[in-house]
Amino acid sequence: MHSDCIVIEGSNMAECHPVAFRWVMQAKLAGATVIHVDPRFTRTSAMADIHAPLRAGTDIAFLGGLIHHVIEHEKYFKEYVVHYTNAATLVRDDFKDTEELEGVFSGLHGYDGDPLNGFVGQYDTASWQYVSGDTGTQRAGDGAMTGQVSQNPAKRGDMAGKGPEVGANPPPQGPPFDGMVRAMKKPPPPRDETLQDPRCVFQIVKRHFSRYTPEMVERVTGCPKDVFLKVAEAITRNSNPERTTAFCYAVGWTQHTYGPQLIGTCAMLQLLLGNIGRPGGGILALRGHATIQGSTDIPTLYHSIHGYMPALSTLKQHETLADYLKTETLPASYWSNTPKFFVSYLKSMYGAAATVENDFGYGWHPRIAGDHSHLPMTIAMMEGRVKGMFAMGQNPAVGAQNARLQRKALAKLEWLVVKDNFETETAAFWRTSPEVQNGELKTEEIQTEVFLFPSAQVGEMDGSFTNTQRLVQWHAKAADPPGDCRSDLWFTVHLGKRLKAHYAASTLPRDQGIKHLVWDFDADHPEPGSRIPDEPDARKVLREVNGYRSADGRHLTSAAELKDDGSTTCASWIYCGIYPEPGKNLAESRVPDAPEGPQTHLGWAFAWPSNRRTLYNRASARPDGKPWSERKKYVWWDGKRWTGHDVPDFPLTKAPDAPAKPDAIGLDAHAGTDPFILKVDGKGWLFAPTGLVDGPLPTHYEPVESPVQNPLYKQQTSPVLKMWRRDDNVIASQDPRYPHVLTTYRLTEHHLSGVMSRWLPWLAELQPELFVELSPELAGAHGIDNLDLVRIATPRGAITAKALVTRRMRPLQIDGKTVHQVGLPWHWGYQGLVTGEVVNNLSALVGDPNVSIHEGKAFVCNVEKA
Amino acid sequence: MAEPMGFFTDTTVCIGCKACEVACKSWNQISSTNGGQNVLSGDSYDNTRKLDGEHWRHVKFIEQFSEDRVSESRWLMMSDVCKHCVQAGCLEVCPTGAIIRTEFDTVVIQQDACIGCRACLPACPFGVIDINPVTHTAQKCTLCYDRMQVGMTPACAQACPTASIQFGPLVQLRKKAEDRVAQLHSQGKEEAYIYGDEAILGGLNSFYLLVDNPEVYGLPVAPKLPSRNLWRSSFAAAFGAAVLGLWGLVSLRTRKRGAKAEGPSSGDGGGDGGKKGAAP
Amino acid sequence: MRDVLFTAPAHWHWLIVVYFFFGGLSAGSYVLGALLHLFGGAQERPASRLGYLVSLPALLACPPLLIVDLDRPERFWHLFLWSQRPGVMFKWWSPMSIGSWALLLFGAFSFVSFVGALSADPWRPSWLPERLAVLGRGIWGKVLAAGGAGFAFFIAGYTGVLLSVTNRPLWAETPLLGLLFTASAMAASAALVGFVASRRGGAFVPALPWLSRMEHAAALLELLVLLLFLAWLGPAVAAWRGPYGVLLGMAVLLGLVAPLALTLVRARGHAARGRAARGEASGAARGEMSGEAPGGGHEVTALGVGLVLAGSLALRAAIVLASEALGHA
Repeated sequence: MHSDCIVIEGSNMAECHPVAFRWVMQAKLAGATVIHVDPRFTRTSAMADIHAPLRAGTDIAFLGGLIHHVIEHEKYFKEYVVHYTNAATLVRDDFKDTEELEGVFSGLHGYDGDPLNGFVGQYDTASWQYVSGDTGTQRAGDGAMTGQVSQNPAKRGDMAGKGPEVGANPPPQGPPFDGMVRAMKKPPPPRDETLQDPRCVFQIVKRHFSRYTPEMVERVTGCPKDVFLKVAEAITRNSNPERTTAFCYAVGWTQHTYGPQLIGTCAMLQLLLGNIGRPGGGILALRGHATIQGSTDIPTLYHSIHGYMPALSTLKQHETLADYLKTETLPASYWSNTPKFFVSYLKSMYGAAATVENDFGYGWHPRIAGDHSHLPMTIAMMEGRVKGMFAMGQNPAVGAQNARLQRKALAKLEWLVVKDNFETETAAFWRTSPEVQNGELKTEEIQTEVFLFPSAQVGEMDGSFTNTQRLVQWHAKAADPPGDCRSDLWFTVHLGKRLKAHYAASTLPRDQGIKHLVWDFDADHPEPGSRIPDEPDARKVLREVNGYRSADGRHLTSAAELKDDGSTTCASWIYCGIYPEPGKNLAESRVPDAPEGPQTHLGWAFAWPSNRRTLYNRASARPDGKPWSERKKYVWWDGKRWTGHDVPDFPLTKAPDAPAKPDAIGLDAHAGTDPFILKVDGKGWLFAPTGLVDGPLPTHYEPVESPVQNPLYKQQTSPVLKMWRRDDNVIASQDPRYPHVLTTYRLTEHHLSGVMSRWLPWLAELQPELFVELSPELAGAHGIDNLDLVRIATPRGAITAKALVTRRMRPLQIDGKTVHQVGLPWHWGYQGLVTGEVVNNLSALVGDPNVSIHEGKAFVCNVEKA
Repeated sequence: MAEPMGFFTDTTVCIGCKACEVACKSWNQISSTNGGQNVLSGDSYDNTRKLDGEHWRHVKFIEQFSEDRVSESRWLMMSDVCKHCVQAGCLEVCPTGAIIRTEFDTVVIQQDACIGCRACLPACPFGVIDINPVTHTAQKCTLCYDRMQVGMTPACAQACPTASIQFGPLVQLRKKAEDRVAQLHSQGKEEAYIYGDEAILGGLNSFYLLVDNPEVYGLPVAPKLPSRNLWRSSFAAAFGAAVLGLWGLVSLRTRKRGAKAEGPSSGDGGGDGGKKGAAP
Repeated sequence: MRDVLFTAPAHWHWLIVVYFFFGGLSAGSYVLGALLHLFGGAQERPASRLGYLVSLPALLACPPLLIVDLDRPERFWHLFLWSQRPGVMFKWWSPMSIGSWALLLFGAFSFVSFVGALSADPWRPSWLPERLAVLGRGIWGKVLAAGGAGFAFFIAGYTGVLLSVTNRPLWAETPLLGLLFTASAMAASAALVGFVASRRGGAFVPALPWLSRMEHAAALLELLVLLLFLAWLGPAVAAWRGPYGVLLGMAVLLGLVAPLALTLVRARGHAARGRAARGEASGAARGEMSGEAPGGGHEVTALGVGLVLAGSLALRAAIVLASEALGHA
């Protein structure tokens, strides 16, 4: 809303996030330029001042072109870049860029781990490091989660080098753990603030993108050069001390075999333009379902525990609590508090049973042993390695990639629990799936026992939503759910209670975790008038999340109160302070700013952490602490302390000229000009030495399935992506049988696999049937008229859909040849009021190496009149 | 009478999400096309097609793309609704008094009074009204009369995420609309204008900001009241009646005179009468 | 695009078309009866009564058609009484409201005239007292006829006005529909009354020539108005490309051209035979179609009336349904 220019790329924001799009429209009404970069002309494009078409999956080339443009024409925000990013930091001599190695970075070798993890290759990231110093461990998006062993070469080298010393003079181990953390501290890396050293990040970036010219952008993406330049002009014009540009993305960026790299490209661009930490700037990850942000904060993910701390892993140095903390703690940066966060978390898991003596129950905690994400899990199910599955609010029979394979995998389970609003395709796979209809599966031979639990709806339960901007908003129950419908909380709490009862008598070491698990969410008093007396108290969950003093139960008011000695209990440090005292649930507060106020609305709900609305907002002020401009005034140094319109994301009394203390840990190791407090060096990273397994810089690769030879590099696809080659997961690339690019997407009228929409007449009538969007050019070439039945085929299978022939789709000129794009919304299935074929029958099980996200946005197909 | 209330629909910020359609149905509990089992229209993203008895809000989609997608590439969207005309055709023709003007200067079809004669359907210059297949009465937007009576915003305006649908006192809305048009003009979008000022049927209480000709949005350029035809059509009919009546009179009279001149008629001599009649 | 194309159809289909048809017949027959009654001689009184006798049965078809056509038939009384409070419901500016009342009042006139006529008719049922014939006699009878004729003309014409007072294509694009329907009603009624009179013969015959001339006059007027109507519509006439155009063609050919032509042919034949008869012997020259009656060539044959009535129905159907077929823009 405070932006002067909003670029929506990798997202159909108006259709898929219409409520959030309200603010884009508000900005537009206030005069902002709106740009939509997308393969299709969507309802978002309709609202945009510029629509830049591009081939699905070529966003890195597009953004890389913008980076090239910004550097080439010196449009970057120099003072910001020099002081607030790692542009000046020097990288090791042995780092080799993709320019030198024909599309791969130094350190590539084969993958020798469990094939189930799917990697086609692996990097040794040692050469990607700064010349010296610590770059920190791998956090969200790290390798271990997707099946690679822990990789922190800087640290690993450190341990190897100092091994004997460690043995001879072991650093003190906690609690308190400060001594241990201090012992891990290393001096900061050398910098060249003239940005001239060829080893400095800025020069590396400049070389890396030197061939991403407007002409190359057009060749790779198909976006006409003049349109690209219009976009470049708009964002550079709107990125300076007076103006800011924001980027919004969604799964159009993530669902690629290089999704995180794609987002990284945008982060680099925004850092170069000085748009991070400033009002109206930033990158908005438009999160999906109602509280998908919440479900990564308090994760339903296998690879991280609460507050973005990595899951305990058998593949990392995680043997003991001290090992874990040594591996995962950054001695500099706010993450130096990891021991406090983690011990408080363990206390919330095991309560009084978690003591100093037993490492706070560390040994009881489950660990991961590889990639347990959905993609390899499907393979594991096919192989009979998974016995049972809970599908709660998920409908993989429609929503999962290669859905045919998915449904066959369901048939290999011993049991399946579906908790949803209706009998979903997943719940009914054994009787109505296409595989049963065509005889591939026989109902009487399917051994899977299916349990279907009806679900309560949002208005029928207390709880919270966390949305895109980390805003946690409480919602109150309005009515009892009908019949046997129950909330997820009810289901989970009662399941947990039964499991605890089941294991109560066990003496096996592996059962100690569940035996000691604190599981006290029962309501003190049943809700008056409710039919459901055993509904748990959601506020008790919130209290657990917020944290309290272990001794007397007093609520914590801020993560600063957390201790690493077990005296505090807190499930998720980032939410600490949301519930500062009984009866004061900040997620429930609803006090907006007055129209003449700063419009940060600090009184409206709670944004984690610390009710902060913009992260890294120290960057909204100049190095000397004054605002960059009056117009973009946000957080500033008033001579004594940091103040402003938001909660400052900086130590409140640390002066702008405060130097970094070389031997200090935590934020004291950062200078007063280091806004990026979660980064080990306090800088925004234009070059990522750690954190990503597929390269320190984003590089344009083709999707796994592409009709085009990579015009930029000899390396066609990501050299380390995940792929499961099987007869039931065939991949084809540059195959004349599949000449078109297929992209899948959603519509405003439906929600995901349709479970919340296809059963409802009011929504079903709005988009009643599956359709395929084709340009008149492509339709004409195949003799297809509007509403004709069309057969769409990929190497995995074929489906039919009605043609929607529209000029909103347009053919693109890629590297001298015409490439057509085909669009399919994937909301339909074989259950519900309106049905249609499952589009994900067409997609493939391939994934990104960092987070194991599938590539659902770009693959190849053919179309013909059915 | 309370203050006149209405809608200002700014089509330039309509994102075609159809939340208005759904919110309307949810509040007013309206059925769906074939119970929801509709068919794909093939006409852009518009599958509900029109305003009718079970669609009181309807979002239109207009694709304007040239072959090169450069000289013209626009996708217009507009949430349409009853215009709540100050001079309402439906209200004029309703024979039962079922259609009323409320204290908010809106036009409402009272469901307990409507007999389903369908006179209002063709009377509406905008084709807003149709029979609801469940109630078998004529239905259209009530501007959420029930919500307005307790000071609430109509469901569609409440649900609209981008404030394309704005609800309020007409005086304020007209001002907002003027300002918005001025803003667009200052941004070089000279094509923006207000559809539904006083020139149209005394003013539409639900009016629109458009950027193309009304017909493009499926709106009449100069909507008229059905009653414009009442007098001229009646006079024509009366004229016809007079002509035929007079002709009958005159022909009968002249025939009588002719008969008298020819001689006394037998009165019931059929053949004679016939001959006389046939003589001229 | 014409503004009328952005409107919604009324779903007025065959029930309404048939109502228009019977309403027109009833009204036209009554007007004919009244004209003969008021201005005709004594020898035309039987034919005048015939007009009344035809009027009521035709009228009786109307209320059921109209009520069944309502989507809420059980509420038809809302047309006459306020549904939510005591009081009479009447909106003079609503064609349907005024039409409903007119239909009701015309029904009263038609009924009384019918009773009067039936009481004086040879076919009077025995239970009907002959003295009720007084209803059709004297000054009272004339006042009744005059009043009834007024309402009848209204019924004949208001249906067209009803269509015009809309925003629909064809209907609202001309003020001529009321006139057209009036003329068509008169022509069809004249044919119908003429046919019944021909069939009954005897005392009913003297009015035949006038009825025939009335039919021709009305038919000519109808043809004229129709041409004017089509000219008025201009390019909108394109709406009749298709099945409803065939219907309109049938209306013109069957209802107007064919009967006129038929009459012309028969009139010539009659004249020739008349000359021949005068030359030879009066009597039984063989009739072309249904036997020569003593009407001097003004008898209406079954084919003749069939064509006219079919034409009249087709005209209304072509106009109503062609517009109805033009959907919501």
